[in-house]
Amino acid sequence: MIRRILWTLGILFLVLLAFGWWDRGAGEQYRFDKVIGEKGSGQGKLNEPFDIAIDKDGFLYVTDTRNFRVQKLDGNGRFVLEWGGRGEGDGLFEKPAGIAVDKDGNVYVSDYDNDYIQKFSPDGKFILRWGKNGNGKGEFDSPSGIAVDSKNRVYVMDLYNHRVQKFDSNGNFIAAWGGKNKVNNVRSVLSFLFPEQKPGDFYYPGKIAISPDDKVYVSDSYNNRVQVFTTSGRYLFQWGGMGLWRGRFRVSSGITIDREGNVYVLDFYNDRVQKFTGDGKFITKWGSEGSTPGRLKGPTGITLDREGGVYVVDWTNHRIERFKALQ
Amino acid sequence: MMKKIFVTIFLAGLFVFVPGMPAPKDVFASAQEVSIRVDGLACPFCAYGLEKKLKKLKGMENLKISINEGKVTLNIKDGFSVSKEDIEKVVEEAGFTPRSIDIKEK
Repeated sequence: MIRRILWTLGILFLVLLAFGWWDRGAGEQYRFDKVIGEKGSGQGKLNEPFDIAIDKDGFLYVTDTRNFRVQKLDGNGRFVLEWGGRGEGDGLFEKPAGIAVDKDGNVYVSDYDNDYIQKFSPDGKFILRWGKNGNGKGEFDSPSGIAVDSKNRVYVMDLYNHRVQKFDSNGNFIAAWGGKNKVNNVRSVLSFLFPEQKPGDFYYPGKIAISPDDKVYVSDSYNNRVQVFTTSGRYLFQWGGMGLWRGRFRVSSGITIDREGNVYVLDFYNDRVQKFTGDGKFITKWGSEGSTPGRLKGPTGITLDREGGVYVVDWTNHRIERFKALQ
Repeated sequence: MMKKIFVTIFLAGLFVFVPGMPAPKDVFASAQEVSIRVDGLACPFCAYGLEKKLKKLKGMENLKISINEGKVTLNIKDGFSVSKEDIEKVVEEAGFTPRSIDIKEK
């Protein structure tokens, strides 16, 4: 009897060991490099930062949500300038959420509560604003993630309308796609058996990114997956599913893509970053829950610099962390 | 002229005091303290959504969301009132199932 138990425990141990080996980050590894910011309202301090974008000169733009502003920082996190202020109207924010930079350096910011998008010059001068509450064309119910393609067309995740909206750089409506549809949790966990679930539909989709070859990657947050589309909204493929192990998510949040087309996805409740090839093959993962430097607690935004630095907005810890690939 | 004023006052009085006619809603309502508990209130996508929808309640002030506790508290000013059903509707609209809603008159 005891022998049997020992055998069972031994086999279980070997299975867990094999799973741990399989679930490890693959060859590529990232190390923690730097913390930027801490909780506060002064220059360079942050209160619930939500999203981050980078321009071609390496300046960072952060939506500092509870401080009702955008902050521009240099690549090492030194304060450059800020703009915003609480309210509704040109240049004001109630809840600045998603942020993106176009080829000309203009900055687009979504406002989750005011249901509009604002466009600013790189030095924070107001250019234009569009959108209002609703579910019609060009209307929003909590616009969240935002991204710009190679032709400066702007894509907005319209969270409570469960769709993507596409605009030109002046805010003129071009297209919308999506619709509310939750993937059953059991099917989501078993997505290796049911790989193509509810294609093209979303359930509280939070973030969006555009690849160098202009494919649209949507972080379909509460369906725990990434879905990929053409710029006209034609569904291509998806990956993910609910889970703790590699390639799985517990609420996929921020998403960004490097120059080689690799996709970095934040995994909100698993407190980690996952890196995939452009077609969704797992490459590596890093991060674990905590508040000490190098750990994450509810990451929401991500961007990359030209030197391979990965900037992650660590929402609950009110800071940004930079990671670098180990050579 | 005087006649006109009397008629106007008379009609206004009728509007306010005729028995059975409801007084303008909530005018005499006292302030309320509302406490809501929901599950899954940990990420900004949901917490911000709930906050946004609750802010639309008339007379709402001092909204506080405690993500760790999954708890929302808010006050309703004098002269306004909300019911459990009102709160339930808003919470569900935000994508949550309310676990408990507690409304106290101040």
